[in-house]
Amino acid sequence: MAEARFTAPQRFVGEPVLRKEDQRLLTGQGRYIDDLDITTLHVAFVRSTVAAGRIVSIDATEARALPGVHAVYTAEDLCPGDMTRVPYSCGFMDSLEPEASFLAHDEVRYVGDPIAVVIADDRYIAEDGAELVEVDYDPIDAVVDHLEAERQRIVHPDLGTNVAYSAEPADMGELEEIFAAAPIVVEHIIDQQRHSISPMETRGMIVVPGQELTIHASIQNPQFLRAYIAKVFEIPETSIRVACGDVGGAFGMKFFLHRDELAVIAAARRFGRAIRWIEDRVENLSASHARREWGRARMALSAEGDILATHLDYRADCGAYPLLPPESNAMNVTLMFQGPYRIARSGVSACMTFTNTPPLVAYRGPWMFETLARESLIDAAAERLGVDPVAFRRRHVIGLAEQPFSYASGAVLTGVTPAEALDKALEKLGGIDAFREMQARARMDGRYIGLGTSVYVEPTSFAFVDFATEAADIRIDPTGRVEVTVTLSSQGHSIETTMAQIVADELGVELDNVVIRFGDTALIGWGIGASGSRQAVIGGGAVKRAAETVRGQVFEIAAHLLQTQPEMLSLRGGMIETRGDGGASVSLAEVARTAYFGTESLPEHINPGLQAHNRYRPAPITFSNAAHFCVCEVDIDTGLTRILRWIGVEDCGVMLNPAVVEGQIAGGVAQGISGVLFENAVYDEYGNPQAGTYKDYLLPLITDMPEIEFGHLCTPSDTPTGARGVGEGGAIVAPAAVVNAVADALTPFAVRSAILPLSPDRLLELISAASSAGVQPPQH
Amino acid sequence: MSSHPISFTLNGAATALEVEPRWTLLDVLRRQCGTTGVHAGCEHGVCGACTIIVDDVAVRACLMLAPQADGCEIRTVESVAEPDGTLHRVQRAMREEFSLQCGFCTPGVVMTLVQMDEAGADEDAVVEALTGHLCRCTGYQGMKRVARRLGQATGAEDRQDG
Ligand code: FES
Ligand code: FES
Repeated sequence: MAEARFTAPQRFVGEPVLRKEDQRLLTGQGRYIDDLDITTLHVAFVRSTVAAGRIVSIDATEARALPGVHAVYTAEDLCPGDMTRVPYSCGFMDSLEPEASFLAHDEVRYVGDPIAVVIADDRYIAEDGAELVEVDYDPIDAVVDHLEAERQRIVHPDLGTNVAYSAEPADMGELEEIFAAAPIVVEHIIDQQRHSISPMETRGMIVVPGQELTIHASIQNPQFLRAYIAKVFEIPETSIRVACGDVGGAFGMKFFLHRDELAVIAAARRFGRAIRWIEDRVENLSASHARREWGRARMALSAEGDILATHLDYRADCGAYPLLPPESNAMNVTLMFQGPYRIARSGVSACMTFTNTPPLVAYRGPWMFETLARESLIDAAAERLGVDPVAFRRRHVIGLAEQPFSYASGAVLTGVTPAEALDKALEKLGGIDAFREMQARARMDGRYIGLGTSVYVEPTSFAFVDFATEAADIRIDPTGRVEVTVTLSSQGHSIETTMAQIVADELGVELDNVVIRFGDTALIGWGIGASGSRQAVIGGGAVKRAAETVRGQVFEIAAHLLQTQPEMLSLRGGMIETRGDGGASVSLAEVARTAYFGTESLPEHINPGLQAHNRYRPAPITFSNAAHFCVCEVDIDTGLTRILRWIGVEDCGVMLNPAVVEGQIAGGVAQGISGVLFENAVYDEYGNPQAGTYKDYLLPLITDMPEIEFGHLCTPSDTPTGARGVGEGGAIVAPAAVVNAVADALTPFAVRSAILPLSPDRLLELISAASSAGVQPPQH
Repeated sequence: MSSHPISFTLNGAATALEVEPRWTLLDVLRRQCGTTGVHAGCEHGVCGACTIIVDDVAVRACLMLAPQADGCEIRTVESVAEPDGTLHRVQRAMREEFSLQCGFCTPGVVMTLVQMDEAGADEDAVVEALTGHLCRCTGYQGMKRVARRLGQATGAEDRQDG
């Protein structure tokens, strides 16, 4: 019978089938958090206007007296007694956690730090009320530059240090010896600017208190957050329901609950009526951050150009209250810094510090610094050796045949195709020589065109401890329609389509006959939801296995109805048939009807109903990989960089839906490109955000994006669907390609910089500095 | 707060309501009229998520105060498909070209495309109009294909070359 299950003809998996989500989203019938028609009062926050200061007094008298204002709550109201120990980073690792409450009670630690909650009839009045709350601060020196933080005032006195996490490679002494003895050492500095995650829908929450605490929110993971809320408020999970409807993008920002969201829950519990908080864009842009990281990357080479060792001195800004556990990010950077290359020794020294800036949160491929640092170091090394960076990579890159491959860090790579991806990308490019010729001709015309390469391996679908599993429930109803409930969640991930493709293939039904439900703790148990490119792999695995079980149940009943054996049956087009010509058949609808309404006719050993649950745990990591090329042109008069071509070849195993795969990659690449060229969540020396609106915080426009040329290698993973994670890869791999392309374009000026962003003003500065230092482009 | 009576046509239906002068048209459409397909992405006129068509021109609902809509004819995304759900050709193109993921920017994009389609705009004009929309999910790949498709369909006659 097992064999029969695996002969399901693939009609949908692998095809770019149109999305089931689109009908409602295109017609304005999406249901995002603020669209929910629940009668509520409205919340606005009083937030700190200084980056660091002791709160001398909070006067809410006038605000409370404003008609339409129902309540103003400060920390004293919401955190009575010793409520200073909020396990605010969801506490799933042993992070060094400072004391914290939902609202600032003694000290404010960043501009935007929540101080008071105002509840009013509508948002306008709530904001009027918030403005009337007078907060007196005793300002103190803000710690803003994370590279200086170790030596500055302590942000959290209870911890006695600004270092949230630090680590050294165990073999640091030996590594240093290799560097000391190496004939060639290349060093490269990478300084990444602060990014704001900026999903197009801001955060938001509707809290309905009562016997069951109901929380509707714009989040990535209802089950995970319910467990966290239960822990914070010390109430049983079973008394809480967390749900999300359509979510307008998240990218990691909505994986954790920020302190202000906990304050909304606390306020609703105290107030006793339903309240709604919808974050505005100004709040959103300075609510949290990512990517404020610095590195000194080094490579030791033999005289022949063998890579003897690499090392990264990695430093990151955690903000005042990191939500992404600092050590988890440092560990991932450490795990992956070696990348897809044969390198004898590789290590990372990490230091992550607290500052008076907003919380560090997850952002699509939070550990991407390893790729940015390594891939730009490789170009610097190739330049030093006088070899082409693509040739240099091809010499060292790992191919499928060499695996399993043991990393210096101990991790074992299996099933990845970086060498193959690089070759395929090169083929799409049309070869290096042709490009170099075109580049040289362009330079003769005063045009500066560059090629940037980035190759990487990604650890997707982390599956250990609380992240180990996802689950699916599948039932065929008495009419033969299929309802599937999953622990996954979607913020644009298209899982209503891709999961339906898996089920429709397995059960031989049309896509229209499959409905996928998710996003509500009332529907299904524990799961992580959207995180770490896990949905297709782990969730898809659970869906496929549950569908296989239901398929077996269908065959059992059909075999009984057709007076044959289950192994003799096949299933397609809604019909179960006996193999061979002219065999008897029965419809799925008839089998389903029998399973529920004709149970008296079934023999004892056949269970009534068609329903299965599966909880699936894959291997701890499923790797994916990619090689990308960026071709850009830098206008040396304006400093503007334009992307001319983008080639991306990835291996995400079996593609459930290639259009969805390409969409995920494209979105990540866009974030990577704009991360290098545009986005910059600047804070001044006092810790004031300087990019408070979309007029200052620049996102890419349609005209900034090239049309991506895709290539796919599809090496199946060892999981039920054969998929590998692909949600984050574009954002991880793209930035280094842009950095390298700009450096390549500006080779005549000897400008190589990974001090980001590479904005027009900065490039002009670098070009003019190079020119005044006597570096001249060739005359033409 | 003082309240003002205003009336406008919303998706073909005469609508009369009382609004406070400081309320944005965006908030009134969402809260008073229930047309929640009009999305609030930034409320400061940059993202385009709130785009609606007022008197045949695509505008940003967050940049209009509700009293300014008095006497206007307003169309939101809810009016674009047929009542039976059959998608308008720009919606169909959006779907077939995979130009949405989370869908939050989508209603605004649809309204801009509807106006461009009605104006018979060519590909360049459609792309130019779409620079008024921020999409954080898609990298605009599908929207580029939609622009090409609409440009070919509507601007075919006056296009001399590619
Ligand atoms: S909400 Fe109106 S332009 Fe962003
Ligand atoms: S589809 Fe998510 S913002 Fe455009």
